[in-house]
Amino acid sequence: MIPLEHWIIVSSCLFAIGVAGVILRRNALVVYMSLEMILNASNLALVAASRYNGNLDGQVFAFFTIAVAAAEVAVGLAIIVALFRLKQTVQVSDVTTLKL
Amino acid sequence: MDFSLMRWELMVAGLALALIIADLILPRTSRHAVGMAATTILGAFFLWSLVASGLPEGAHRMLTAGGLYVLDPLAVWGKQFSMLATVLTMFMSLRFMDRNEEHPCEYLALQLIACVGMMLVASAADFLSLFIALELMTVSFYILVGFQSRNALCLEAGLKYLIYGALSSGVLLYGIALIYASSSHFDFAGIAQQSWEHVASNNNWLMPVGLMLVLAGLAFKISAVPFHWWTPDVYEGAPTPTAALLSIGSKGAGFILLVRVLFEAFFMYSSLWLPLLVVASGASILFGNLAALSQGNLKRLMGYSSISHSGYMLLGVAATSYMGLSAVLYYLVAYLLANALVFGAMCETAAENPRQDIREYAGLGRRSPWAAAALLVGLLSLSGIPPLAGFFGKLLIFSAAMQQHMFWLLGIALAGAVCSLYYYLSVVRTMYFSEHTESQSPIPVTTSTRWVFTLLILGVILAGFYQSPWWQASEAAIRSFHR
Repeated sequence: MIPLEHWIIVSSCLFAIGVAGVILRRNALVVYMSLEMILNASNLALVAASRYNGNLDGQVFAFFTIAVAAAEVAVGLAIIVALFRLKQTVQVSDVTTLKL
Repeated sequence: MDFSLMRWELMVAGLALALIIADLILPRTSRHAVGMAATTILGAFFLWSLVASGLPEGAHRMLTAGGLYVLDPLAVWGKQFSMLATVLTMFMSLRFMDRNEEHPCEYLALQLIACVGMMLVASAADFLSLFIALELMTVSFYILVGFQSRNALCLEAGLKYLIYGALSSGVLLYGIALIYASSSHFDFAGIAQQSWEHVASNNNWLMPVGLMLVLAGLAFKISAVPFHWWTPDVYEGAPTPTAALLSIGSKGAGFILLVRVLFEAFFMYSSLWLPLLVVASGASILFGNLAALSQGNLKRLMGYSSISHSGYMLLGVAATSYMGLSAVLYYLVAYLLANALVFGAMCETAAENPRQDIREYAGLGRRSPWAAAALLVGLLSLSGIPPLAGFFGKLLIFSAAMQQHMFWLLGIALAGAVCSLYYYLSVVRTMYFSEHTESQSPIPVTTSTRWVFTLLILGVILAGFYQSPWWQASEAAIRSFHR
């Protein structure tokens, strides 16, 4: 069986890619995809840990995460669409009126 | 599963649904009355919860829903706090939305749903319920922040809160996954037991990393340095009642959660998290107060002030004593009253001054004595002028820190408090003594608003002069929680 450490390493790579995407990318939709990647990295770690810990709690948690992520996407895309209607852009760098 | 323990959440959620349905059925003209009725009902719930907390006589800790949900005095305190905060912001919204909102009842219903989230957060005894309750609160806030979908600033604030909020939730969730991987538990009691074994055998690095990520996620919610960047932008762009609920409710829920996670689950790791809290506290106090000095916008100023108040409250948590934690609860009440006054006054002036530019406040003392008085008392209490509630909040937290010999941090906190006097009082000076003003027309304040302002001002003064009932309530909540 593949040891737990390998799963943790893969999931932490996904997590790091997600965080890097949120920080570096300028398109709101791509940023949003990166956020989903972070949630899925957590799901992978939860399910793998559930298998190795020998209880199902982690897998149940993963289902809840998926449901929460769906709610978050529904609201998030609505905000991005409203922004696009108003400004005809989804580039994060074009919405920087609020600053120091 | 014992639903009677969750009665407050169920009642508020029912109220939110009833409000949405009433909005659909009843004609447009009655919307304001419906909103007023919902606010009054929530106010009645709050008063009822003060009389009958829902905790059975003699019990000090009840678990239900398979250990996901806990009802103890701290949870009851958190529920009362969230309900009071939401009543006040709903009342502000009623004034605010007369002018600005297309869907007033939806706006109120979303605040009620966010309130349910905060109330559930106060009762989390497990990372599963913590995550879901926190998301219920945060997702409602995404909509509340970006609610005015025709206003570019508001949508920009919504997008920023969405990205930062979702990032913080993701970081928190990954932390939870790592903690689960190393302890095979989600419930705080189980994690506490496992962490005891881990610290004894000293061979596990996943748990500390997970704890750090969870703390980073929570620091976003309470807007502590270094996870504070969103605060001023979001406060400035968001509708004023949303900013009020964000500053009071979200912070209150975040601190209750922080206390629960640190003292119920990870007390064994205090050597790890204590230095982090100390650094975050000092940095928040310094950054919040210094950055607020140069602000020309009152909402933005309140954003920075919110960061600095997080710093003071973190100082109370870092004292790791009954006194420190009780002081944090007392401070939260003082913060609630003062912030409700400041944001309430902002809602009153919103028609004249939608951007909340501080220069536009010139002459407010003559134009609207009520709004000016509310703003005056709120700002003085926030800055910690003696007989008011904010002063005793700071005094209690500082003496808790003194008991733990945290002199360096105490010095920073005192310097920050002196610094804050300058920017709070300069708003007061503009309001009462500045002559430069274009408009001299009076700003009317309705009778109901006058009543609410009077009650809040009395609350601020009473909590300052006659602290013992408020202090005893906070202390009782903390003592029975950490028995």
